[in-house]
Amino acid sequence: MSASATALALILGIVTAATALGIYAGSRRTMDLEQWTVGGRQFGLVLVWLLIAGEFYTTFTFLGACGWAYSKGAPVLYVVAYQPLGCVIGFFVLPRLWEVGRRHRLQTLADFFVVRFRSERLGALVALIGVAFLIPYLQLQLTGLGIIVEVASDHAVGRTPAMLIAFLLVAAFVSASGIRGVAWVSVLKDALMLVTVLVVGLTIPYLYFGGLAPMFTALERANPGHLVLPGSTRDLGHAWYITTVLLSAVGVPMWPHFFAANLSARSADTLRRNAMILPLYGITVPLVLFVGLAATLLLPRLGNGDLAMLALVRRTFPPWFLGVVGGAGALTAMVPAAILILSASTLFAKNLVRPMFAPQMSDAAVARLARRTVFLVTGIALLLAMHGSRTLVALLLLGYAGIAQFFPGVVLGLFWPPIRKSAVAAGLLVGIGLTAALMASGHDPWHGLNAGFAGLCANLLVTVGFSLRVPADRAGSRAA
Amino acid sequence: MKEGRSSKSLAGSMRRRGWVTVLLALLPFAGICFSVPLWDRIEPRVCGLPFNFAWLIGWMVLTPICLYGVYRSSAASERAR
Repeated sequence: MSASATALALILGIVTAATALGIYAGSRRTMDLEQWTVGGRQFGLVLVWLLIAGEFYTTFTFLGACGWAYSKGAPVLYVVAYQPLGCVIGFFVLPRLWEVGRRHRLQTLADFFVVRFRSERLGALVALIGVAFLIPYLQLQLTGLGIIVEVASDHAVGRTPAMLIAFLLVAAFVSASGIRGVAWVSVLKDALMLVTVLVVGLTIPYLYFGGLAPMFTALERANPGHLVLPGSTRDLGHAWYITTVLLSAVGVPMWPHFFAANLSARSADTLRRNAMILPLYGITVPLVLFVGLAATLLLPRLGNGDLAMLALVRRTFPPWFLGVVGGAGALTAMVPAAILILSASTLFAKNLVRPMFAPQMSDAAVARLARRTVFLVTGIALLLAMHGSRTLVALLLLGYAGIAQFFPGVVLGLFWPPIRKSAVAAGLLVGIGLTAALMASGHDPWHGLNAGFAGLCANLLVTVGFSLRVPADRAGSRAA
Repeated sequence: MKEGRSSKSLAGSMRRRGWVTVLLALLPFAGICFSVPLWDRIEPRVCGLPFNFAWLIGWMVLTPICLYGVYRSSAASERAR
């Protein structure tokens, strides 16, 4: 068997086994909306930890962060920075959110806005924004899958057919399993990914350079600017780092799929303890960065930085190991993809379609619509992945720019009584609008600042400002 | 409700615990995010790693410690109430 065939066969084998596991695990309970989205709220500490930790480790870290280490250098350190800070914010916000979620039987992030602000239209807006910005994250996973197949087959299988296969597998997997099936495959994925990253990340520096110290000495000699901000870019300096880290940290608990996973926990304290230990999970990220940096010296002419990890593995290890790495990478894309699709389709069916177009829909009908939307959402992400050209990290940053805009509404909604729903809506629209305008006009970073962060600041100002103004209007409308 | 403590010292100790909580929660932000110009350099190398890499890896371990401190101090103030 040729090298490529070996690698591809192994990847397909791993993915098929995982899909079967997911479908089996998912089929052991009847699937109502509650089971499908939040697993009936009975997941214990271990399963919740795996589910949440599994979401921290996606194609973004495995391929994307490695890619940025290769092409941009020091700016990739924002990834190592924002994850612990996201845990700190989650530690305070998520337990409160869980209590509200349990008391009002919330299933989606949009439900929180509906219940807290008593507005189905605000919930629909949140759902629309949520779905829109989940898609780049999903696109990232599908692109990653395409890259895996492309490199494993030595460019014999093109990216497009690879992504089409990925699309079908993922859609089938999600449709059948729901969150419970996904949680079990997450276990397999994490185990495989951990082993893979440890082996690759620890051996490559030693194999080629004789250790980390000699590797960094060589890197420093070849290109010292690469290792400190702004690395090999012109505009990603200290201000960008600070604003991007803050934007991302604040956005971590705001992801709709994260919200559902947290609701599945058995207690608020489970979430606090999770938040405490999760930063340690990020220990594997630096290993991935080492591989990317090594690749700058070993494979200097890669067109696309996102290929660095797999290309270097292909160069260094036998084909069967490339297959294992590829398989791990494929699961690292499929499991988060499944979770993202679940969230997006549930948001779409429950918080956008039902309240706005079909208020009489039953919960069972919503669940059926959500399962059918799976294909629609994945299809859109697939189309974008086939025609897109952003790096994997750039895609996630785009997602964060939108999702972080929920932060004022959620946090002020949980902790600040004067907040008003019109203020939240206005803040959201201003934040998204400003961010979109800056990004579309090529102003990211804007005066060195992350564009999404600028939008978030405007959002916060508007939300707080309008909330403080409205009491006067309410007095006026009471008199009217 | 615990009896036998003057409300003054109980409120005082709860206020102190509140400050500790806030401080511990903000410490990772100061160390990881806002202070970047101070530690964004290659020298001195730590275990062969550039200083900025080592600094951030260190905070990956320090952050759980800070959160644990918050966890304990807020649990303590829950018990005191």
